Amino acid sequence: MEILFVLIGISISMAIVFLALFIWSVKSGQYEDDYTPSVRMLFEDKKPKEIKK
Amino acid sequence: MKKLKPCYHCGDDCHVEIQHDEKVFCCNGCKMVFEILSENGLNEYYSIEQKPGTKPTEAGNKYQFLENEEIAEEFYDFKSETQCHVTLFLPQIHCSSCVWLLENLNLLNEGILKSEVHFTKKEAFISFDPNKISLLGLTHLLDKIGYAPTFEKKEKRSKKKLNNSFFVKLGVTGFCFGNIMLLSFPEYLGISKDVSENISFFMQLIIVALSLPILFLPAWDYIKSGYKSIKTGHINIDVPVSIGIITLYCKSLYDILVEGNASYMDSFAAFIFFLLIGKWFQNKTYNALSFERDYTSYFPIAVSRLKDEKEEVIKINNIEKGDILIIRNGDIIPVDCNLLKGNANIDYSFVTGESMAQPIKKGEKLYAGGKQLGTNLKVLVLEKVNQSYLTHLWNQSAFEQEESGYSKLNTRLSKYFTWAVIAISIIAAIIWINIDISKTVNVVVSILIVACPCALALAVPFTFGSALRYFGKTGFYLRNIFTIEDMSQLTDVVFDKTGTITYANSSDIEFIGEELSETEKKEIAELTNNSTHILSRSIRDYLSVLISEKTISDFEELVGKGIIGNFENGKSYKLGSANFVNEKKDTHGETRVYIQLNEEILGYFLFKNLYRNGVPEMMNSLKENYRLHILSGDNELERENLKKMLPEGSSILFNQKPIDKLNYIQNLQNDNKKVLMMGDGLNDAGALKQSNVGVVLSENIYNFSPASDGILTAENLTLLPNFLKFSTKTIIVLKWCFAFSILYNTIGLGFAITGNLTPLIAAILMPISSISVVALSVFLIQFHYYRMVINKKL
Repeated sequence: MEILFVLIGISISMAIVFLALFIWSVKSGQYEDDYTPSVRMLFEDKKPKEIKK
Repeated sequence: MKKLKPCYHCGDDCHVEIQHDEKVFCCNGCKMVFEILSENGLNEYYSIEQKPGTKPTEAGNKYQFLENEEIAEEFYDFKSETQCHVTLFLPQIHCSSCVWLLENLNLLNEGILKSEVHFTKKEAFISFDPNKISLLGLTHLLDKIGYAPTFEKKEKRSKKKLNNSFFVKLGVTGFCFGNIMLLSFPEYLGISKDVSENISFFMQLIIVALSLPILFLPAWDYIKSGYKSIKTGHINIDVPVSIGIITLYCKSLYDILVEGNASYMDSFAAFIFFLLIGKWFQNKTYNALSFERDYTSYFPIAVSRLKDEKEEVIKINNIEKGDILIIRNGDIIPVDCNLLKGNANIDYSFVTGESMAQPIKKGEKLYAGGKQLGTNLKVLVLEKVNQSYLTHLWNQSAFEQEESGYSKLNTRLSKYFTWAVIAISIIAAIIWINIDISKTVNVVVSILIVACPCALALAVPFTFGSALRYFGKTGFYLRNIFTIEDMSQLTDVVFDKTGTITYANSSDIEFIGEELSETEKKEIAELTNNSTHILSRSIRDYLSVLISEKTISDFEELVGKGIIGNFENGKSYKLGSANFVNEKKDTHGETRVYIQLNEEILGYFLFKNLYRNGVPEMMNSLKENYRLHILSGDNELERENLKKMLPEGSSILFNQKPIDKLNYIQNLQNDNKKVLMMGDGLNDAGALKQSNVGVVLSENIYNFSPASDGILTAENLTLLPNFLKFSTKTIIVLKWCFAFSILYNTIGLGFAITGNLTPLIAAILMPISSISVVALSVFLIQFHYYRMVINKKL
């Protein structure tokens, strides 16, 4: 049964990693705009040089 | 009416067909945008969405203030020798084509390094090279392609940031809550005694550790707010909540650390988590709408001052008494001043609601808030900005009312609730002392725990929150959820006339005189198309004919009078007021535009104030429950028309200045009336703020509107009686939810008083009560909403 000490430790620390990721994603503003990225990825890439004569 | 072709760029009807590249445009502005884009290979703009463009506006000198480096400085997020960052608010952003174009700005100008659009906030983050393009140049470029930026003071924009820390709190609480529950599983299954003592204690310790962030992050806010409310003597819902939290936490700590038993920590975590979810629901607002605008948002940021014969751009706050300012066509007068030079023709619709522009003579006073139409003016400043007539109005006490952020119904209930809980605990304590002293403390603690009104606290945000969502679906946006409560208690409805029950820009037009021939119609339409005046535009739209282009040889617009136009075929037109065409007959105070062709008057266009469709019916259904009032800044011409529309006993007042409107509402409130004010303009701002519920009617909800409790889209005005009915229903739903949650508390109290409350029972009772109350409120609101939809009422 002593293995539980280790298992609980592992599970909590893994959960903490995900919590940290969540906090990071909130702080970096990923939840602020849920529309633009979804259309941005569909645009063709263009380089200014190609068009300018 | 003939069908006109839509413009390739903006999709509006083309009154003039400008052909270019086999496409049709409605104006030169739209054509120019197309040219700019196609020259730079940005034609894809038109293939992402159909007719995505917006008409470019006449920029003129509007952005002149950006020349002043000190002012421009305020808008930079970052500045160095080679790079500048700005975040611009572009209200025109509306589709994915917009995103595409704005993110490819660097193809239009080399100076732009990067641009990124934030669609929901309608903002663009742009970094550019100040050596290649200035902020002014960038602004002009954006303006030219139809995305005119709006500049606002920085401090107003930075409010949003707070949100992030709330989500972090919610995330952390959710994480701790989940893990605490997981570690409590042996408890739930009744096997905690089977695992070894050590492991059990270890798990309890982790639970304590996990509870600390919850205690110090979100729970602390409730305790602080509860403490504050006791100190000020206004007991709100946070008081019983804090009492519950504190006892729950202390009891759990004692159980774990001293007794080594199972604890209530899971209930504690669940409790805070649900409260946060409720708060989140409560704070969901409409991001893109602004409810907080005051007069400063309407005023220019900078003005041109004449000093030592030279013109300079200065910030509005730096205006001093005695300065000489230059006011251009379309500028708003920032301070009270005297007219020195120029033909002033001031549109005071901002301030008074009066729709006609007034000519002002030299030496007369101009009031802040008026808009000059016509030539440049030179004016002498009489007072500093913050002392002028308009700002006086805004410094009225009406604007300093603070909001509590609590529902009144809830607060009232909380007070009784708190005292009831304390009374019950004392009675139970007395009884238990006589039965079994050792259990007394335990029972009192259990009562305090179980009485914690979690479901009660959730009922308000969820009931009002879901009602708010349905209002939003029907074009009625409220600033916060508590407005609904105020809406259900109204006794009086006050309407502003101009712009609220009448259209602001479109008038009912009739041509009086001999019927015009097709050619005459075409020619008049062409003339009016050259003018930007509201009346000209309305006549053009009324005629609705296709305009052949370029047969005018000579055109002149005389501000405040009319237009003169000569055609190549020798015809000479004069359009304008009676004075302008030398018509001697009395106009009876009506708004008329006379048509004169080669010295002969053909007739006139009569403009009648047009009421919105369905207004009389709306008044009729409102009169059952509310007293109606109409306040108008205009003159008495419309009294008879209005009287016919309104039920007996309603009041109609004319020539009302903004301060009169505010006082009128104050008087009603002194008679213990609850007042709803419907208005549209800045001239109603005082009254909107003073009223119990102030709603702004808006043709375009993204436009500027004065500070208010709600914004209603103009086409949904006639739904107002149903909105009010729906809010009354919402209150009934809320009362049901209160009854339900108190029922749960009573059941819990049953366990507590008899001394049978265990952590397991608490862990079951708490989520069930919260979730069922939330489900009940959401379901009932939805039910009422769809019933109204089926009955075609919303």
